[in-house]
Amino acid sequence: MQEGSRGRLTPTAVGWRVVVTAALTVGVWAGTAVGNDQWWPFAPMSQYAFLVQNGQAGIVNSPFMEARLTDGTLERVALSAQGLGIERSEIEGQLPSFIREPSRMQAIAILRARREPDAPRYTAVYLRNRQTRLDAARTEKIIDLASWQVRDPQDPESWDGRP
Amino acid sequence: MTAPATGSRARATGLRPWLFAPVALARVAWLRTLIYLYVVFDVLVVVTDPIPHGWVPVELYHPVLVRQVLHLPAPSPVYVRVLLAVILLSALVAATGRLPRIAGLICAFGMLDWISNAFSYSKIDHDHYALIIALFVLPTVGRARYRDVDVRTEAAGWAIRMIQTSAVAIYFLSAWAKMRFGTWGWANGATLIWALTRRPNGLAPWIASHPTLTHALQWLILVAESCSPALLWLRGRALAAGLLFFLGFHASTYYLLRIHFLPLVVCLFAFMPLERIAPYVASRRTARIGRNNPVTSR
Repeated sequence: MQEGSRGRLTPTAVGWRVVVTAALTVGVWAGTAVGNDQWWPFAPMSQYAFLVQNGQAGIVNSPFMEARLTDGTLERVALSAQGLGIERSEIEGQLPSFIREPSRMQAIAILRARREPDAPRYTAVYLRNRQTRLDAARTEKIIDLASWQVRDPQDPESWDGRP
Repeated sequence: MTAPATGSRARATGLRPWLFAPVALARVAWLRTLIYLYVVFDVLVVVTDPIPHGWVPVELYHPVLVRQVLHLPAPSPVYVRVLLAVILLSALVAATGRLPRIAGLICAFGMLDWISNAFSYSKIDHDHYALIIALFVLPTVGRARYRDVDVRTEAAGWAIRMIQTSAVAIYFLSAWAKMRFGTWGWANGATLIWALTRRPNGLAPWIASHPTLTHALQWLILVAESCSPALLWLRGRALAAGLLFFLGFHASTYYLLRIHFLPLVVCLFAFMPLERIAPYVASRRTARIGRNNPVTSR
């Protein structure tokens, strides 16, 4: 029995709730003060918390992926839950590891084969960045970040060099 | 069993009246309906990534700490579909007020698995913190009915207070994070222009072309987030005004950027006197019956 007359909690019921309150408070504060995304649900409340410089110094990066198909055409990789099954923002979160280790992009070809088995497979995957400068003209340029020649394009999952 | 001694000690420190202020069970009942129905919407419409994540090769899976601690497996197509069914079933049962502890806890752990799955591919959103806390504290209240308008308990008060503080934590700590990651220059920077440029909708391009306006909006956001703890002490119309401001803020971000923060918005209802719904509806019904059957005298 946790509650007595008029809905008052017993000392035990109050005690564990106070401990939980303290733990959650410390956790969520520490997460934003010193934590990182791995701490979720106590991850820093950091959406849109980064600084973008004004004017000439300001740059908007919009990474994207393209892929060469077995029929030779170049296609924009549909980075969304409904498309390939992984979001552009998730690819952005893994950008440094793709650049450091392009072989990780074999996983993009595998995902394509799993999600759309009847569609032409990827033979190469390109990671690119559309960079827009926040000047008056909104100057744009495309930068190549990494590329990967897919191993065993017809059966990319069989490649034994996967990380 | 009563606990006068502990109550007196806690009252002396000022903790108990604030953290355990009794709240009508009816508010918990309404909030449960709202939140558990939102969970159904959330997994079917808002956070749908876990289903396609079942297909994503494991090398792109970077589990957040809670998944590692709880030894939750890497998602597979079958696993995520079974999980979806468990969440839907438990949420629908809990929304009716039946089996509030069992169904509520199953739903809470299911959502912890679902959302941590969504966030284990290197993209974390912070809009679900209050919802996750709500799902874990609501079962602690036990049975609650819409008609429990006059039954006020400390258990309900604590659960409601936890949801309120979690919602406020999202706002306040967002301001803190801006200082940590964006530095004191954040409000005068171009972060909003960056967002409006990447996800433009409606008036977004026009706003993005007026840096002074974007700076003013960033200052407004920063000040509002910093002052958000006031929601925990405001009452009456002042509280309503504060809530309307944040609801308007979320409506604006949805209009301009298609970002809605609905999991947080639904938790803001914990601030509202939902227990008045049933008496209000009853009084309206009585008034209507009175109008339709006027007392006539000869």
